Amino acid sequence: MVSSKYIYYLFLMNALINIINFVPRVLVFTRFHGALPSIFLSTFIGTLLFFGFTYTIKGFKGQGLPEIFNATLPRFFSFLLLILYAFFWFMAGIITMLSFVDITLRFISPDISSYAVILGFLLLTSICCRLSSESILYALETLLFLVTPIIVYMLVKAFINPAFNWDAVMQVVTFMWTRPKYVSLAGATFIFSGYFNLAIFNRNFKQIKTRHFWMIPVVGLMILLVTFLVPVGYHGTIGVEEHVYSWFSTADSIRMELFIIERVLFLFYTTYLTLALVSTVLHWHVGLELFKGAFQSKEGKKPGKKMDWWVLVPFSAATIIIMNFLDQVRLGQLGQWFLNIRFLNELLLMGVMFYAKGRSAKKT
Amino acid sequence: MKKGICCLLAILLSGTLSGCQFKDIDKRSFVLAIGIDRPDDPKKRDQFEVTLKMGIPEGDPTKRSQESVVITEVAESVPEAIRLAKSKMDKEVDFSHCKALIYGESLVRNNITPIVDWSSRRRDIQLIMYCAVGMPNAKEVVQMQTKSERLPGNALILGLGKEGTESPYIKTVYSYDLKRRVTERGLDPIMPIVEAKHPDMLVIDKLALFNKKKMVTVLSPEETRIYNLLTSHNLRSSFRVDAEGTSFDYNLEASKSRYRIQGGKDGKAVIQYTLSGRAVLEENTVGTSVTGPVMRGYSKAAGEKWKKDGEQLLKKIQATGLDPIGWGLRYYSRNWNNATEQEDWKRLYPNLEFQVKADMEIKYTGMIR
Repeated sequence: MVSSKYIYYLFLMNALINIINFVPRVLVFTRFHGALPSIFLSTFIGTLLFFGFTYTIKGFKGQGLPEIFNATLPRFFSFLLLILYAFFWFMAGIITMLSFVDITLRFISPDISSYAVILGFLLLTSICCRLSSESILYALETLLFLVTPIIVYMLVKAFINPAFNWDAVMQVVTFMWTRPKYVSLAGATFIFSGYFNLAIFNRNFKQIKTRHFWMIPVVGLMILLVTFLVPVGYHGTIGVEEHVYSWFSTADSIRMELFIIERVLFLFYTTYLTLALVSTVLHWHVGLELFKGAFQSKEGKKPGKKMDWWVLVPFSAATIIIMNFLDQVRLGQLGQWFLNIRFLNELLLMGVMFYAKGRSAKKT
Repeated sequence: MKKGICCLLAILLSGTLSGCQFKDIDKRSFVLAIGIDRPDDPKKRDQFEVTLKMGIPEGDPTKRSQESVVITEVAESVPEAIRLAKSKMDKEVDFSHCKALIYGESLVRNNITPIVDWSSRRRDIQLIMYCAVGMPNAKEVVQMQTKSERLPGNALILGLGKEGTESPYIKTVYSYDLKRRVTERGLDPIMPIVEAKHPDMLVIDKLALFNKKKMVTVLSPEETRIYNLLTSHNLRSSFRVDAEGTSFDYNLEASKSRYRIQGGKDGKAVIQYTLSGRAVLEENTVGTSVTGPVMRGYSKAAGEKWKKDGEQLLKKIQATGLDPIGWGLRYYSRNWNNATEQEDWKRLYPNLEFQVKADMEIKYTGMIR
């Protein structure tokens, strides 16, 4: 059983990993057509969803999504929904992973085979995501404590650089009164969707107390603005679009004059490698548990541990196959599609949760 | 079962050991500076002459045995030239430590866009690389082996950056800065000029102003210093003032520069600069003792000199039609009518007026009065 501060870690994880999951990409593309209003709107929507989800799941103490669905929904629907969401969570992990394989090849060594990289990532995530939910939460806490100071250091470094162009940032800010687009909204709400992982981790929470809830919108909005505006400050209002991984280019533009290595890029890379792997492990863990939950009997008897590999191996194979089909452009599009569908999915889950809450209230 | 999985893992992982294709450090030669020119041969005017200055890793970096290797190659494009250069080297050419890219004068008078594109597109070339214009050409600048140079290319790198010398005549321009200036609306590229003076000296004291594509004007050393004063904080410099009756030098301890664009509604705009500085007297040519009133008089004279020089430089920049400081971007960023602001600025620019308010204070007279 863990205390409820872990909800905030789950939130922070997703908020920090957005750079890898193509959130800056869509915000930068729509910077003249509604990125900024989308950010503000998504802060509102994201907070609302966050609140709604924690509010509904609070009623099901110690239960994950499989238990809730199996108890309140018709068997067929609960099976379908659980499989759907399992796929969905696996996809989230796959995109983070593929994106990071691409980044590794681009920035670290283009000579290394992409298969070697993905194989390493897949092995690590497959083994780690079979750990118990609690160990994963503890690992998450430890790694966030290690990584967050480095990220803050790099951000401070980015802001105090005299070459940071505030005029470019302000110029983008003047495009505030444009109509928000669905794509940028879907991208921006990704920041807040860390609570989503409660779907499984709720099993481990004693009780969910959301103290200091005001921190969610404040921190979320700040992270979104930084995600969006710092690359603009470094690469200009027009030039920012030309950088494929705008945040990695930004990290490459910052110098640590008096450190062992001069390029912040490498520090940034290792930091985000850690984050990306933890995030993937988290997502795959949730995906795996949901998958197993779909085959759970009414009495809550779970399929055995050995079944894990029957899920993980096909998904790993699928990752490699997907990677084969992708080039840089398609990977970006895939990431965007994921973000788009994710937002709808979240709304759907919200609806189902409220329905389930109503049903269970009637039962008792 | 578990043992089986472990064995399988071990076998799989051993496959990746050789797959890295990692080349040892003694099999690499590190490019430290690149120079790119147009060839002198009139038949090859649209080709590129690429000069690579390479350092070969050796045992003891403190000795001055570090000879650099310079390779020059002509080809239709920069990548082609580099491939040709690779076949002249016995070692793997590694760009990841390249710290300076010198654009030859012949190139900057023609078109810099392909090179800017190439250098920011290549994954292994840093975005924190220094960019500069080489005169008379990039090859001579890159080849130059100054007496003070301990490591290959280091004279150029230290000169262009701020770790070594901190001259008020040098404006540091990084690759990412150049790239953003090439694309940005209302902000034009600039680059410092490095001149190779024979037998063994590199002089960096001028600034080249570009339109988006090529060099348009060169600022003289004096103008470059004022430009630096206008665009940076805490410039490390001394200035000389030769007014009537007074003649003295002062050393700047702290400086600050701000500007704002006033007006713009009625087709006229004023750019107001506010300079402030704190200084210490370095030399008093007249020789009389510097009392309080004299010091305040000196401060005033120094401020007036800044005002005069500053306004002169700003007018010169305006006359070229360029925007190296980013007034245009400032105007766009402070106006919310995004549809029309660019047209407005285009109309405003030729009639811009400049006001420089210099608030200069000489606070100390040095060790003697």
